Amino acid sequence: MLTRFSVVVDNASIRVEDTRVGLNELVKALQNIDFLRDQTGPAFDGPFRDKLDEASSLIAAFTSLRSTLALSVSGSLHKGLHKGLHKALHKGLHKGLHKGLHKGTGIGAGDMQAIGTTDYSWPEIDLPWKHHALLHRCRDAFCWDRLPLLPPPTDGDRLGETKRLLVLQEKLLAPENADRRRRILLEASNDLTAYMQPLGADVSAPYGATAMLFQMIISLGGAIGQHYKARFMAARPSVLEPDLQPFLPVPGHSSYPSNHALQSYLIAEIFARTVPEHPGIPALFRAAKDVAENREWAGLHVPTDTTAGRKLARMAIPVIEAVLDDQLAAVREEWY
Amino acid sequence: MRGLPEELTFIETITRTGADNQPLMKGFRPAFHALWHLKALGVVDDLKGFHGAWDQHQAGTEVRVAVFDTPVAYDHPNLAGVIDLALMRDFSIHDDGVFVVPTEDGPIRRTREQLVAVLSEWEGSPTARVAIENETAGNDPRPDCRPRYFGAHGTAIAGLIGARPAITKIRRPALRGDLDKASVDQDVSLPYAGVNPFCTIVPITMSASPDPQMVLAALQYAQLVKPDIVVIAAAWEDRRHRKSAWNKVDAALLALCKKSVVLCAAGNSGDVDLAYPACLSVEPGGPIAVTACDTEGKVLAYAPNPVKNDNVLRTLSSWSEAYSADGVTWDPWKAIDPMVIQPCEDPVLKGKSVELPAETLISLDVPGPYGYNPSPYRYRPTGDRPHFDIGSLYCRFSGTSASTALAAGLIGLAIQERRKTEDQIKAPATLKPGKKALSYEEAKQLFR
Repeated sequence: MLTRFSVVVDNASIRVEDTRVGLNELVKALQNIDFLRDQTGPAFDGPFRDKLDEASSLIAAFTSLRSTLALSVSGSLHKGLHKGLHKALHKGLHKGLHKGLHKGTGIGAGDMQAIGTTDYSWPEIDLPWKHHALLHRCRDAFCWDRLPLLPPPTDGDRLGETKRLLVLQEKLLAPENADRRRRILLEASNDLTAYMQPLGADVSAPYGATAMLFQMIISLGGAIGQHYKARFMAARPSVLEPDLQPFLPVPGHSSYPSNHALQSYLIAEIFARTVPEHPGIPALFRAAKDVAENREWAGLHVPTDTTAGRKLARMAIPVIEAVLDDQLAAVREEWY
Repeated sequence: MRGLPEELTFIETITRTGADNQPLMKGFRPAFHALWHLKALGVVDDLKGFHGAWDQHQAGTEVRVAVFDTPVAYDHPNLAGVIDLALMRDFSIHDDGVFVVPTEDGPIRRTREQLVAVLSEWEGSPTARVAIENETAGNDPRPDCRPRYFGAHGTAIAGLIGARPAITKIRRPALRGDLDKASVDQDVSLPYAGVNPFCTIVPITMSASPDPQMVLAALQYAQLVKPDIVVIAAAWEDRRHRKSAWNKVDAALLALCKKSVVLCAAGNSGDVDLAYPACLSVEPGGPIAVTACDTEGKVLAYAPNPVKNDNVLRTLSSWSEAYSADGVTWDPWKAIDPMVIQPCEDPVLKGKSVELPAETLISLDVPGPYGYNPSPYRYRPTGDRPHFDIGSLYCRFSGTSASTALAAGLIGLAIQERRKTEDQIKAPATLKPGKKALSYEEAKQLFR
């Protein structure tokens, strides 16, 4: 029995490191967990049961990484159809087909529901190459690569900031933070759930233009952030403090400023300027803060990285508004 | 067509009410005068000659209104001469703020030099002070990074307060074919006005981010500008999430209230509680909160109606539909769904059904393909360039934001009336600041 338990936990930890996991493996792992949960006795209480819960929540989080699921379940046929439909078909038809394709797999919709799929599918975009080209042509007009962002604190000061991350690292493993762990995993990709939910988007009204805008902001904001990361080359917290064990794989680029903070606050700022009456704006800003701070919980950023990302977001507003002019008009039309 | 179900024949039928021969329930609305609210508020006696309070105006008494909002489209034709281009400052991009219009020789530089001269009163951060000095001298080392896109909300607020009638150019398209003609630019009049078209407005712009540091910097700047009236038609932070970081903001706002008449929109939640910072109206010497009412003075469905706070004004705003167990207010001109029971036919709410009037508030909108009412043309008329359409210059506007703007216009007219002593007009420096010219009690009395 202990062997099986260990297999389950190992499976779960493999999923943390490798998001290219097949659904069949997840379902198998879940069956193992369910089997163990049915067992009683001293060996299954206390820490064991906590581990089981944790493994279960990790799997649930992974199953909501929909693109991974879609690829593993229905492969290239689905992907090709998906992209074609995005451009060609009415939203409602697309949605229906999207669901139908998922349901038509061998695993079945019931299984997916049972393991915690959120059932949101926000529009995906390819690289917005025209907008990237425009962004780079605007570099001297908007000086977006030389905005007055304060350089990072010294490594010594940044090391001091990692003390807080060690505390967060410990807290993150607590059972009550299962939902935060789920969100951290979701937010590792470009998932839009954190931003769309405060706006009241639902499965029948996914606000496609808004979702597209957010994806574009993530892409363009990320490019802007990389300029500053490449300039400052600040070490990741786990390099400064080897006791930190980041919850996610450490990205290959430097730490300051936090691109998640930059992107999430840019989304909130730009949306608030585009649809100023939207009642969800305060919640959207809180979601942006949460996404940004989750990267601290994950051990990938110190707080000054987060603050710098937020400040850079405000300074980048003019160029993003200029480059995404047409998309902002589409978003206004969607809400007014 | 024979055999069609009633629902389908309905959409082909034009029903008319007897009295006004108006098609009923077809999305075909009666027209109304865009400035109807000026008569409803008693600013003018008639909508042809516009006689009334404006006739009493005496030059030299004009109030300065600071508007904390999204960036105002200062090049809107109806805002020409209204917006103080020299003092308008944006805090949405930089914490230290940036003048929206670069410093140039002439009145803009002179006004800014006067501002620098009073920087000894500056209570904000040293870097913000240096930024003002550098920008005025024309040697700001920061990259040119100012807001280029304007906010519809701030523009609509400025319009309701102080828009002025204007003339602008509109381009008529070329005519092709037998009557081949080139396009022509023609003058067109834009007879729109705010409640107090004599005032000047200083937009102090911020982002919607609940960032106490940004708001504090903006408030400190406002103290330097010394406005007679301050308009805050925004919620700076969700009341439930306000933390101690906002204490300094509270103190700065209360300090501003000592010299200026500060008006804060109550919020549109329909709650009894007020939004932040309007909720500071319960503090001694706090701002005045403004809630929205109809022409009869009845608080509108979306507007807060706090019973224990007498520092709340009610001012006119646009209506909105509401449907609850308390009753239904509904729009009789909305296109109806014949498959659904109409609000007026609700069997439970008999006698509790109120029809909304056709009139809504009209204000200014960001020109071109932006704002609440975007132009269909992907063209942004700026400076002396002609407009392609007029529609995109105006929009409907509502909420307690609109009420707050109208209240600021009315209070401004009252302050100007108070200042009409010959001595004060001859020596503008002796003009009493807004708060001294008109006490809160007197201001509130205007709305009883």
